[in-house]
Amino acid sequence: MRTAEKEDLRSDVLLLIAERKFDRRPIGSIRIEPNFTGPLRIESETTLPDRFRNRQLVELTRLGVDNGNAGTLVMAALAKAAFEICSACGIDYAIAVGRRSMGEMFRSLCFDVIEGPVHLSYSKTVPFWLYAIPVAEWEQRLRGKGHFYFEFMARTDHPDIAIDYDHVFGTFGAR
Amino acid sequence: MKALLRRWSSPASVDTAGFELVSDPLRVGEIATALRFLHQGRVADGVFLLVRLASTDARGVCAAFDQVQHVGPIIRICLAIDVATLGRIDRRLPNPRNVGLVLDDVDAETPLSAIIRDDIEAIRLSRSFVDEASERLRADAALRAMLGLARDLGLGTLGPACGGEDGSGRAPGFDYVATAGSPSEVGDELPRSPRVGIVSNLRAG
Repeated sequence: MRTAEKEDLRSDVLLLIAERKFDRRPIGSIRIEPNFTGPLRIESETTLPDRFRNRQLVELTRLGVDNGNAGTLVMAALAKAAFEICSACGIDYAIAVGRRSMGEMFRSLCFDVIEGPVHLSYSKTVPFWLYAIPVAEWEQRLRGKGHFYFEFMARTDHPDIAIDYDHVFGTFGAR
Repeated sequence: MKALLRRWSSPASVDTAGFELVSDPLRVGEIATALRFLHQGRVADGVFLLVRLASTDARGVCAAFDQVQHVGPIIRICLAIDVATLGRIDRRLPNPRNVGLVLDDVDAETPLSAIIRDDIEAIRLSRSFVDEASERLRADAALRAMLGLARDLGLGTLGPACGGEDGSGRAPGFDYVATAGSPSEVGDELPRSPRVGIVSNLRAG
């Protein structure tokens, strides 16, 4: 969590870090990698279905929280921030890649399973699945399911989630 | 008369520590005085300074926040409050950059509804509860459940150093533990002016 990955330093990605207020220790992260300047990382491993062609996509990577519990408030806060950014930037779909064990978390965030199992070049033994959600439908899906995230995600202005939109639009452009 | 400082160490990161101003709980009007006379250079390498706040209400907490802001601390000031004070906070508190609340003396009697309040950013477990947890499995289960809840919420946890760091697997796993030994050989000289009410609240150094 505390060590930068090579992709964190790319000028076209956004890295969201959840810091504990108490001591500013990083306790969660998510990286938003768009396809504005090139294909997504996952597209070097598999071909996405046609509905993703010529669309504004982001791949959500580096997703993790300190204790690995998918139901944490920390994870929900990171997801909320990521979706707010994606909405503001006009992203069509958010895509994520994860092992089967991650499926519960992505389904809890109303993602669809779009492909799997997929064997990735960097992990030949462990199969992965692809998950995606149309960003514009995210709030509606949460509401439709009566999802317990809905109030937090869509109806709460959380003062501890600080998004620097100058930086966001500087990186992704106002689309 | 000296201010006493206790060091809180992070078992997960040897370079990370916080401090506590050891005193009786401070009244709201004493906060700024205490911080002014604490040489902040003493705590510059810490990530927080814990200060106990005497039982108060929402207005008192806001006033304490204002006092901290006025002093302009160089590290985050965490005001440790009791569950009664938390229960009296009936409004959305301001969200200043350098001050927050820690729920103090958490034990098995502390309601979960207190721990999940947005207003707090860390919990400090009571010594007696942690001692009990080291002797009774049911208390141990309650302690671990509370620590798990705190982590799910992104809260920090503080507790007394206790056995189990020897690999027996019984250590509760606090984010910060009080460094063994008596606090404060690092105290600062405080003035004895009668207007400095804090002086009477600090233990002799």
